[in-house]
Amino acid sequence: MRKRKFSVIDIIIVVVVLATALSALIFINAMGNDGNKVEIIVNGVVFSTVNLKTDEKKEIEIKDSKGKVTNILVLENDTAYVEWATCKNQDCVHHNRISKVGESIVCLPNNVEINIIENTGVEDAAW
Amino acid sequence: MRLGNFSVKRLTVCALLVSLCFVFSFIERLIPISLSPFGFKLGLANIVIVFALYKCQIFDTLIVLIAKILISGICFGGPVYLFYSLLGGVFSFLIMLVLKNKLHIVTVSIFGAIFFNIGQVLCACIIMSWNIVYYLPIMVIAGVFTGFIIGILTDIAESRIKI
Ligand SMILES: [Zn+2]
Repeated sequence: MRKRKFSVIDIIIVVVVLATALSALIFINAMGNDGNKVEIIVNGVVFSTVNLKTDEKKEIEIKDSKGKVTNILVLENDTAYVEWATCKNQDCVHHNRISKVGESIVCLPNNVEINIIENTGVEDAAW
Repeated sequence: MRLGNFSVKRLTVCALLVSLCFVFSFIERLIPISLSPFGFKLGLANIVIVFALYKCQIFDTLIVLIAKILISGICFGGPVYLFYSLLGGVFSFLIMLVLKNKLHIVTVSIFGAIFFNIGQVLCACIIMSWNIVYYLPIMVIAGVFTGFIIGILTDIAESRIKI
């Protein structure tokens, strides 16, 4: 039946898992260089790709297929964050600012994904 | 009185656990903390799941788990959320079932939380993009901490409450 004592095996397993995850996290952060583009994906389709670096604060309205604004993305000081969203949980709004390649903010309820990417030579879409 | 294989007692215990899940999910809704697209929830309702895992039959635990996911999904998250938690819930249930008698309840709870998060990340990867896989390490670490707290609480409840 149930184990009554927290044993050495328990400790070892938890420490190993924690150490693996921590090193993966450090590895990802060390690899991450500052990106220069922000890719916005709505319902799996690229909504637009914009420059991360702007001279002044810039707000981008992210719209769903019906043209309704679902999230407002702000570009400021070479970082991006979601300022406003229609979603119930507001997780995307509370998310930290992102600036490194591979970092992303996701709004699950609105099916919006914001990724930091490296310049791929793709031109800005309609800005 | 018997309802098929279900005694009234079993049924009542299940119902009680499901309503506890609802209360815990509601309380948690009042204190939102977010560090990732999946939120950074303590998952207080998981106390009930881990508790049931040790006290109830497998089938009953599964019922409570599914009810918990449906309730929190519909009332506090929305349909998309439901989908994510469903995969996470199944993942965490399976790993906890395997480890149940091999490791301490706190460790089992930690693995439950980790696999819940892994399930969610995988689900997001499949639905959205593999970029989200970057979240895996932080979600695993988060799982260790939330699972630990839930595990300690469940340990106390499990050793004191008789069903
Ligand atoms: Zn959102």
